[in-house]
Amino acid sequence: MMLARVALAFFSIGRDVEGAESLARLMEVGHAMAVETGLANGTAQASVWQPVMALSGLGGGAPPAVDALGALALPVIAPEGRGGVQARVRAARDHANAVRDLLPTDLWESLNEIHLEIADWSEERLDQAGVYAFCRSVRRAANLVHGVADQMMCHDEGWQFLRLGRSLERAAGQTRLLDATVRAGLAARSATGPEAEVRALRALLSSAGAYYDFMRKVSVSIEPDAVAHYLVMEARSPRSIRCALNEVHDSLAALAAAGAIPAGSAALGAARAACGDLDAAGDVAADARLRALLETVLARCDGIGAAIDTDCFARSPDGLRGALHAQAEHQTQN
Amino acid sequence: MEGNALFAEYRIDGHFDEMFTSAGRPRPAYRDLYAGLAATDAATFASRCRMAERSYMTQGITFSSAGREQPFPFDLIPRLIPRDDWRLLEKGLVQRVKALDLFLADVYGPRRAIRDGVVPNRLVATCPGYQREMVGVEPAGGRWIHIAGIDLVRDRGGVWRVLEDNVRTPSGLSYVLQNRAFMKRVLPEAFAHHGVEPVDHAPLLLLDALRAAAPPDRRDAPTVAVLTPGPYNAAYSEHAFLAREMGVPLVQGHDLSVRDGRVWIETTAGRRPVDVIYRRVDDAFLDPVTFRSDSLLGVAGLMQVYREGGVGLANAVGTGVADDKAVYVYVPDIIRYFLEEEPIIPQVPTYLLERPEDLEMVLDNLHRLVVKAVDGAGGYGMLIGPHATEAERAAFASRIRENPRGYIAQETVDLSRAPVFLDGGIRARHVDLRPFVLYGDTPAVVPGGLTRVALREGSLVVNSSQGGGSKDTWVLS
Amino acid sequence: MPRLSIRHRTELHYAGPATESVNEVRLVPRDSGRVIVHHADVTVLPAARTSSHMDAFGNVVRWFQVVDPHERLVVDAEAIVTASAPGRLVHSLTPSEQWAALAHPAFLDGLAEYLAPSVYVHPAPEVAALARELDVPEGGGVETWLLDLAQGVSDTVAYEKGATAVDTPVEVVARLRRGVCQDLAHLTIALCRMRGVPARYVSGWLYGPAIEGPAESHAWIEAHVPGAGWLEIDPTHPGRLDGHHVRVAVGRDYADVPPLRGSYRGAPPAGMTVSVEIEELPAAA
Repeated sequence: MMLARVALAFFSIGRDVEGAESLARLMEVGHAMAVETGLANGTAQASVWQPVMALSGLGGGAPPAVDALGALALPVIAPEGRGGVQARVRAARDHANAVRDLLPTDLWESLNEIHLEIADWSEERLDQAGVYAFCRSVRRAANLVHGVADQMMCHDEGWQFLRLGRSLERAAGQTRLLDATVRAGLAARSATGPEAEVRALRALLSSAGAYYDFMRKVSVSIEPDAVAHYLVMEARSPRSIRCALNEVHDSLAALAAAGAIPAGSAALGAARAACGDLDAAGDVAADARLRALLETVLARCDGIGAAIDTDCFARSPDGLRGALHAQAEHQTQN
Repeated sequence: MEGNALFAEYRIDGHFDEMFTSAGRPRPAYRDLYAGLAATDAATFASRCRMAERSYMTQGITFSSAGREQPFPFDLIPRLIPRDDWRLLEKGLVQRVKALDLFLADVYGPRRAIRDGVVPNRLVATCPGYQREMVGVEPAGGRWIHIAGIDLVRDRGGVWRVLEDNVRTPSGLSYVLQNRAFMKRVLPEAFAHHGVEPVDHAPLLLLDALRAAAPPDRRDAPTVAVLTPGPYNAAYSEHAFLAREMGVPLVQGHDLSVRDGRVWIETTAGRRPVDVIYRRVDDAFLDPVTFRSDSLLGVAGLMQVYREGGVGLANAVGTGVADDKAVYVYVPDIIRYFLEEEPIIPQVPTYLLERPEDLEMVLDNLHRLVVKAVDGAGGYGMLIGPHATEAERAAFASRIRENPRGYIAQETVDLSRAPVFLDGGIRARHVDLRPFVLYGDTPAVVPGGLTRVALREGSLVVNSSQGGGSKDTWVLS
Repeated sequence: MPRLSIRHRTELHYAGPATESVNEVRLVPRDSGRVIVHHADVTVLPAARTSSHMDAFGNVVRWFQVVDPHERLVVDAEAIVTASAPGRLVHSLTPSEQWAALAHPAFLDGLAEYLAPSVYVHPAPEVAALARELDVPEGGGVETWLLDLAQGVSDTVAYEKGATAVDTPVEVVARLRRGVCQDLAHLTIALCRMRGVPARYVSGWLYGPAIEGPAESHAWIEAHVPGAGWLEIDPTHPGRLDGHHVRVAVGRDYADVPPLRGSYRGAPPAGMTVSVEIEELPAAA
């Protein structure tokens, strides 16, 4: 049993840390490609700019000029970008602050530290230290948070909510990433040569954090169908949609068993259905059928998020924030 | 001090110095510490200081200044209190808190002390902290003050005096613990040759004191929660820290609700009752029905449950009448009246501005006095005459004339000074001491307390909101 | 003296569901010498258990909570009382002794509560100006001064609904020279306290020839005459009070005795009506 507000905070920590980490990885990969090829190149635009924008939720817009790589990174990092890395780290940190009495010291401290470290990164700082340093800091902190959460926290409801936030974000994120690449790839395949395709697939795998594992586990050469299949179906890879959805399902099932969410929760139903969708899909290829599947999975993820909101977080207050802020500041602590 | 580079800039200048005698020799209690410091070079010391600062940042023990987070300044040189001095202070603190607790029970109950002329009715009736809602209410457990922070200072002669009482929502206990923890990590060698009374049991003392506030039928295994205004409050890190150390939930007003004569926590799996609330929210915000109707920090109906004895609140509602700075003048008499004892720790000479003769004397002597708002906290709303400009004194004089009951004046105490590491060397700065008394069934004092330092040269304001820092405080055993 | 049957209905409407409604009601009269309470109760719709306590001023407070969603809340206060006119004060001091007694330290200390500023009543330049303007003669002693003061306030401040709000402070009333019974009461209290006469606020009901309708919620004051005691006076209907004023609660000002005070969550308020009925019952058999 826990406070609805606390449950939401745990969920959000998982979600926002995962979001920041995947965005940082995506940017790192895209940035590395753009350095060589330039964004004017159609492949780079398809494999770098579009997924970055799609995944960050920052919208479309014209790709920046090649000579402004810092500028490419900035909207993804900067605090003005609401879905940007800094904003998501700050959100995760604020949620952690709200429940810091319940978190392992190392978890709170590493989140707070990364927040303090990156909060004031500006374009100049990016130019000086490089996008790589920034992304690496974020990735490491995120992995530390996940590791500490899994290894230090009691696997009670709080942890389940944290894992739920993380895996739901990952399922949706990987789905969106694959979808953006497949969509771009299907359109661009005829126009570009095989080399470009390989580079795009490599970028996709790296962005998904699955490149080396794919290369070791999958003996065939790097080609669209195998990559798509791996990213969707490989249950052993924590980077796959399948694995993320399994975790979503397991967390929801555990929460339902603990009485933290209603037994007949629509969230659990949607998670079951999403796993069922994958079961029914069988072999996956990078084709129109895959896009339909990805769209279904995304819709399921949205449904789970909405149902959780209603079932668990509805009691958590919003609005009133400004007034609350002012009153909280003025309490005598004498 | 000769031959020690770290102390090259150190001056005693006629103040009472915690570490040195007026002749500049280390006091007996400080001899080993001084020898240790003498063997340390400035660079090493500076790097240790940076370590401590980083720890505070990482742990999020910060305050916000000009939109940026700043660590609370922590000075690595501990403040030492010889064992015998402490035993006496401890007795004096317990005496004082016991008397204040009895006074509160009396003010809201039989009012004997008022009837017998110990404290004027007028003073109570016009006290901003006096809560009429509490008249006739007997808090569960009968205790009003569960945690008190009593500010002590030492004057030019080294005499310990009570400067003010804090019995509403005293803050700083977490710093006592964190300062000690950092000290052990960052400067372990300082502990060599010293026996120091531990402080890490303080959260358990607090928990005991809180449990004693539980309704009688739930004293066996009461559920305790810490009620915080939330992360926007400057003391939020303390609220989170204490909740975590005690292993109790940290809640905000909207996490709680009232049903069937009890208070409940709203959890994902339904409601769970709460028996004692350690509230760090002001009286006026606790319940929008009874107090401020616009409060977003409280719980509607909380006061009714409290009135009926269905929940304990710590500290009790209305304790502000005991730490009103005008009531302070009467505390020695309150001690004599309720305990039939002489006060152990003296106070600072204080003038009530609503006495016409005091008022005129104070207005004529603003240049040497300290003036404080009776319900002030955090070092705000005060005038330090000797350090103020003519214009500031004039502005205060007109505020005092408008509302004499709103202010008191005190003789300026030349607070004792202690060594502080600043700008690469050790310098003398003014300090005070806030010990904490935890009062459940019996009162207990956390050894030492929070030594606060006025970091600005010559300043007498030690509050963290006003450029103050803190030190670990050792009671030597 | 007839027995009076009093029904005070407060009806609140909300623009949608309201929940977690928690309220304090100060509509239960207590025996106070001239008012004898035979029966008094508060009922609530939707049904809610009410609990009762006494506040610092000796008023009866009913507390209730309605948890389930509702769009309408009805609070019915009912009482059966006998109210007689206040007895004449018996003076033990001469007029000049009365004025002198106001400065006596024990008097100042004992009645400090009703001399000090309160939420809506504080000494303000506007009030001081009005006091100079009224210039009520003091030769007849404090009681006469109070009756003249009430008359002066009544003559100077026009009774006008809507000119002020429930939380209008006294200096604004003094400037506007318009207001309702609450404002006149606050202003009179301020004038009393400014002269050193302890004064407090009375909330209650009024019926009879002085008003147009059958009955209404009303506010007047009590002021303390040294050597004699509290005197009830009504600046809205100056002159000596009779049994048509039914005293319910007393405090330093309105903030201490609102008839209904509470909080809830949910939809915004969509209107409130208050109706008071007072009926003279046939003499008991």
